[in-house]
This record gives sequence, structure tokens and C-alpha cells, in this order.
Amino acid sequence: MSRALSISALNTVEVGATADQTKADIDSLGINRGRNNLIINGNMNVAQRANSATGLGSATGYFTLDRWNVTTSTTGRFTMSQSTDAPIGFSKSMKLDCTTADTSIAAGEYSILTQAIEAQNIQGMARGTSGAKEVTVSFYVKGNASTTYVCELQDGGGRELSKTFNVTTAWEKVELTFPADTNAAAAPTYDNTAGIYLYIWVQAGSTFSGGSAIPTSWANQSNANRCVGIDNFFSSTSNELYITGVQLEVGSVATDFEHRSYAENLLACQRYYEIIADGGYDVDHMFGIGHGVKSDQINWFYDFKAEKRAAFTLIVASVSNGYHAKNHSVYKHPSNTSLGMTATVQSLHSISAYMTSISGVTEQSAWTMQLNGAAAHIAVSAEI
Amino acid sequence: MKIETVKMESDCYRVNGTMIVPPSTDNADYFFVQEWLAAGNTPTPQYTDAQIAATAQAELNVTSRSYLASTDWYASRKSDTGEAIPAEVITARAAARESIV
Repeated sequence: MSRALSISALNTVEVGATADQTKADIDSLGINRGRNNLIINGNMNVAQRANSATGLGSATGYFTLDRWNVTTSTTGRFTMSQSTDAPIGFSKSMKLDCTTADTSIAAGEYSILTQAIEAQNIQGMARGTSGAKEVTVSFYVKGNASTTYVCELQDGGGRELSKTFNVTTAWEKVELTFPADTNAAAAPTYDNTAGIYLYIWVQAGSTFSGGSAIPTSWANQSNANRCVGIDNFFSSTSNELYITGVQLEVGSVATDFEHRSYAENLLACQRYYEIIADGGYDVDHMFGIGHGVKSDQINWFYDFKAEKRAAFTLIVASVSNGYHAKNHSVYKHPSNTSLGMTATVQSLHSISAYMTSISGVTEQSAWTMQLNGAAAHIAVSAEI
Repeated sequence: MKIETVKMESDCYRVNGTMIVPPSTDNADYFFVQEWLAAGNTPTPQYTDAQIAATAQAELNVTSRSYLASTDWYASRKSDTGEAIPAEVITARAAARESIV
């Protein structure tokens, strides 16, 4: 299609068209409408924590792909990994591989892939107002058999709405449009707390699935109706699920996935999780500047690449002699538990931490903080 | 998050030995710590009684040695001139020597 024809077509559809019709027409013309995907790392390109994690299912947490939380309590077990099996237009996907079946599901069991979106990022939804907008979730999925799972949106106040979707053995795009929520109770405080949770349910016990039917409008639903009709990912160790291209956007049309550069994607993820130093990348990575505070303590600091969402957790991999302070040829080798922080002196832009369990440090002496081994790893997490 | 151990450290919680979690309701990990505490669990204190005692003794050693050093001149004066060391200084120096371990 030539540019002239595109503009002409655009002029035609804009007359009397609804916003969504115009949006759909613009999308059909291939015109980039800028930022429209509220999901971060929807194309599963960023995996700062790990490319693969095994034995998942017993505890909730972030294990592999950035921003994707495994929210779970089940006796089933699975491996979660970043896969190169992806639909056309994508290079990566998230793969779930069932390794321990759970064919007798207890009432309260559940397994969910979750992404929490900050409330200050969902203002375009206008939730809780007369101008509230429909929103559309789209993604690509593939499995090992025909199955049905549940996609749910839930706001910070617990108002939710679910829709089932089908998975086949081929990559298929799922498009689910959710109605506007004009109820005043849906109006969030636009801050750094969770405004919307996107849930992909792959297992739900009767507590969440034993009801009569999934409702069709937003409300604080009966738990039992949230996942009516869902299949069980843990029905067999043959089960697999691939997912990528996850997009949540305002409007009733699932537009093409908004591809961002890897650097943009990574920076967006680093607001929630940032690696300070990774021995797997550089075994003697110099990660900070320190100064002697007293004979057995060096304080060090590091400026973040991205402002953190909120007060962060410092994570230091347990590695014997994995971290040291260096001053010319002098090294201080504390135990791995010697890196820590005091919460009250932190900011969202940098960390001020300490190294203890050392001796012979001169006050105000200068030190370079350094990793000492491939398994040494320091990160901060400010996930929702 | 599966919590196995929690130890107090500075004003934070060291969880499972590798995570230093601030006591902030904005922090998602602190939510799990609160759940763990609400279940009746108690964090390990940052220092054991023995460590606290050892630290206190070390500080006392420094103080006592400093006092002895600062009053050594009484002994030198007595040696040089024969002038007696005041009784209260003798008592205090003896106590200082006793306190050093």
C-alpha cells in the first residue's frame, strides 16, 4: 500500500468513526501509534534472574523472565524457561514444562503467571469514571494438546474479570477484550502500587473454579466463579505451554504487538530488578566504590541504571569468598554474609551498602568493591 | 517466596541468608516476611548473647587499657621521685587490670 493510499484511507475512516474503529484502521495501515502496551517484557526477551528454573510450584516468586511472577501453591511441579520456540515476528517465549503431575487437585491449589502493572501507568483506562475504556489483552500461545486456561484482570482493590482462552498445538494469537469498568470503586490512586494484575491461570482448584460461570462484568467476584471451565496444566508430565507477545492495551482492538528495542525493554525491567554485578558475566566485576568507616567495615555505593519503583531488597548470592574489597594489592575477603544495607539510608536511585566481617581497615581509606568468582552475584529487587 | 530463615540485620531482615529485606510495606518481599512473622515465627537476633558479650568485653578492654596508659605516669613519677600514687588511682588501675580479658 502506498503512503498516499494510506493517508487517503485514514481520512475516510476518521469521518464518523469511533475511536476503536479509527484505531483498528490505523493499525491496519501499519502506522505505529506509539506506546500502547502496558505489559513489560511481553515478548519474553529479558531474563536477568535466570534462563531456566526447575522444581517450581511450591512457592510464589520471580524466577526467570523479568516482570513475570509465578503465583502458585500446588503439588504439581514445573520448569519455567526462556525458549526460542516462538511465532513469526518473535524470537523468544516463556515455556512451562510440567515435571510432576497433580491430577488430584486440592480445592485451594492454584498456579498463575502474573504481571502487576503500576497504577500510575494505567491512567489511560480511566477506571472508575464515566469515561472508562475497554481494554484488550492479546498474546500468542502454543501447547502440546488442546486445553483451556483463564486470563483474568484484577485491580488493586480486588475487582476482577476473567475470560477463558484455548491453546492448541500450533502458535495461535488470543485476543480478549474486557469491558470498561465505570464503577467508582474501580478508581485507583495513581501511584507506584499495583493498579492492574494480569493473571494467566493454568491451574485452579474448586475454590477458584467450582462455581457456575465466569461473570461478564467487573466486580469483586465470588472466588468460585473466577476460573470456571479451566483445564489443569498439571494433568500430565507431557504438558507444555508456550506464551509470548503479551499485550494489554486500551481499546477493543488487539493491535499488532508493540516491539521495543532490547535496551528499552531491559531498562523498563530494571525499575523492578537490576543486577549490580554478575560473576557469570565478569568473574572479577568491579561494582562499587567503598570507603573505610571503621576497622571492620567498608561502606560502598552504587548508582542504579533505573530509578527503583519502591524500597528494594538487596540480594547477594551465597558464595564463599565471592566478594572482596581491593586497595592496590590489599584485599579484604569477608564471608558472603557480610554484604548488607541499612534501610533508612537508601534512595530509589542508588544503594549505600556495607561490607563487614573484615579487619584492619583504616578510616577514610578508599576501596574498590569487586566480585571474586563466577557464582558471585548482587542484585536489587523492587518488584510489586 | 519460601522463607526458611530470617535474621535481624541492622534495620532489615536477612531472609534465607541471601536477601536483605527492608521493613517497608512498599516492598513485596516484606509482605512475605510479615506473613512469616504473623504465623508466630521469630527472627534470629543479629547477634548471639555470646557475640554481644564479646563485643562488650572488647570495648571494655579498650577503655581499660586506655585508662592504664593514661595513668602510667603516676608509676613513673613514683619511680623517679618517690611520690606516692593516690589511693583512688591505685584502686582504679587495679580494677582496670582486672577487667581486661
